Amino acid sequence: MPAKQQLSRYPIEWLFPVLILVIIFTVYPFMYAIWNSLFQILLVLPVHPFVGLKNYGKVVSSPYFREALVNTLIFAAVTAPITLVIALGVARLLLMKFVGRGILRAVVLMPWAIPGSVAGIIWLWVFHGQFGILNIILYKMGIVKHYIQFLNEPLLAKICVMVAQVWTQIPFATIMLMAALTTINKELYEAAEVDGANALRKLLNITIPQISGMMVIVLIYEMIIGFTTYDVVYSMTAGGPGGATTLLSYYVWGESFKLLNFGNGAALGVIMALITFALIWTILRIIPNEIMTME
Amino acid sequence: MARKIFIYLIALIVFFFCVGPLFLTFLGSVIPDASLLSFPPKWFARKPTLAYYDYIFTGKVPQSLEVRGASRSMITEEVRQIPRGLGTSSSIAVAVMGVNIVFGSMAAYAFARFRFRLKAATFSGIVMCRLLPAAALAVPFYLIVQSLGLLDSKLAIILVHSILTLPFTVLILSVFFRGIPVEIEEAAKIDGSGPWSTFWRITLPLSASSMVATGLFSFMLSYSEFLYSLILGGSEHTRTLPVIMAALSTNTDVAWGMFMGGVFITLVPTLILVVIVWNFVVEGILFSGSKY
Repeated sequence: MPAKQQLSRYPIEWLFPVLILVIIFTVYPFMYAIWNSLFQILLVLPVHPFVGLKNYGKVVSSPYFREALVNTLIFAAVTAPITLVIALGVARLLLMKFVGRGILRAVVLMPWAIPGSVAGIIWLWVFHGQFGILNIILYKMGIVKHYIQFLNEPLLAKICVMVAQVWTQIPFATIMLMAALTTINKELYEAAEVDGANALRKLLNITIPQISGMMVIVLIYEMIIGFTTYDVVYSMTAGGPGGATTLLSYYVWGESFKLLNFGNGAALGVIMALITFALIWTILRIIPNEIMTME
Repeated sequence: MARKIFIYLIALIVFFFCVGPLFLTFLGSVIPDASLLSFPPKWFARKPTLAYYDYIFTGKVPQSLEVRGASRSMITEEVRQIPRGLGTSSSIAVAVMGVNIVFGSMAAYAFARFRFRLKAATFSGIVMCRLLPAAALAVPFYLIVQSLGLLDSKLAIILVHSILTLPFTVLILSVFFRGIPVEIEEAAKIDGSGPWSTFWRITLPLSASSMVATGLFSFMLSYSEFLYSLILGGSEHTRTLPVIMAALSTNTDVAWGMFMGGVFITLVPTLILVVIVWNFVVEGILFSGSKY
């Protein structure tokens, strides 16, 4: 392929729409946010004095910030791998032949179609302490005498919002993994069967290495979503009980738009961005992959 | 045989996990509130009713609520915005999908096929942009849109949603494009076709299914986006469904059944879309997978 080897000029005519939209409309606002983070900007006060890095010191030393940070890290670290594993299983299932497969394929996609805030409302109803379906089922089956207040117990509430989050994320991950699975050469499996490999060996030695690129993409994507999400949790628990399910995005949002402290909000946003990059860098380091290498 | 049973068992669990909450939502929208809130639970003591939907679309107050004076307050004008919000959300999402398919695929193709200076830097620049937390950019975005004079316009929301979705479209499509053998395009090149027409006439049709898949992804993202729609919208003609639903969820007066009716209406267009397009997309993915 000689044509591919030589360096061509910058293909601006292919890239400019995306470059204008994405780079300019993200880099400039982000710079603006960094700039803001160096000032004390309280919307109720007319003067915005320069305070340097004081905003950062203030937000980092806040116990609420630490609680939100720990919540968010756990949230992302639990939901992303679980989503990946379940989605891999579902993707594999949807490629098998069985009666009703067509229906299941359509059904699996459905949570995808649901706005996060609405998904939160739906799962709120599942776990609701007065008329939640889970409580009703447990009651009818005679397992509980009184309804469980799922969303009022810190630990239970955390688990509930994770279930809801995984539910909303499975379809997308499943489609991506299905697409990757279909590209695997079937002869590899046939060869493995001849060699007498069992299902686990085929999974570990053929399936996972063959689709590792897509798996890393999905994992990173789910990590980012888990780390920056707020809508599911917001409409389900509004961060409660106490601060048990308060995630960073919600905390930043509250600091900026409820307390109207834009300086602190901007500093928090910058910190969040840094942690996000650190997370992704770490994932790309520890998991072998070929995504970021451009041939 | 045991394996068969196992497969069906897993399929059944997946089925209920995915569809159960949705079915529950529909159920909630047709059961009168008095039955829903009863303890011990008797959901089917009263006849299911479509009265809540009737109110959302026509403004006819449900009889069950009219009888008891106290319940009158459980109706809110806000739910009457839902039909209009449906149109707003859908039109914005379709526009975002179009932007993603056209511009996103162009950029993705350039990354998949050309070698040029600053390629890796540009690529990671685009992809990394998506990683910035939305909450951090909300205030600057508001100010930019304001200075462009686009506040409270659909165009502003379409722009911002495109920015949010394009990085991922570019990332995924470039992976797909790289999976298409270069040989097919080389053949077109020998026949005298330039990169531009090769892209439109050869690569694009070959990857139609993945384009639809990623386009749909951007549709869903736009249809679901809440934070920016809230900040940039305002009047009734730019209020998207998530904004309306969020307003309803903080309104403690609204009857639960009517709320669920609103939720279900929000879900209908995308559910239909998912079912209709699913076969096309998946068959496309499978087909393109076995083609090479």
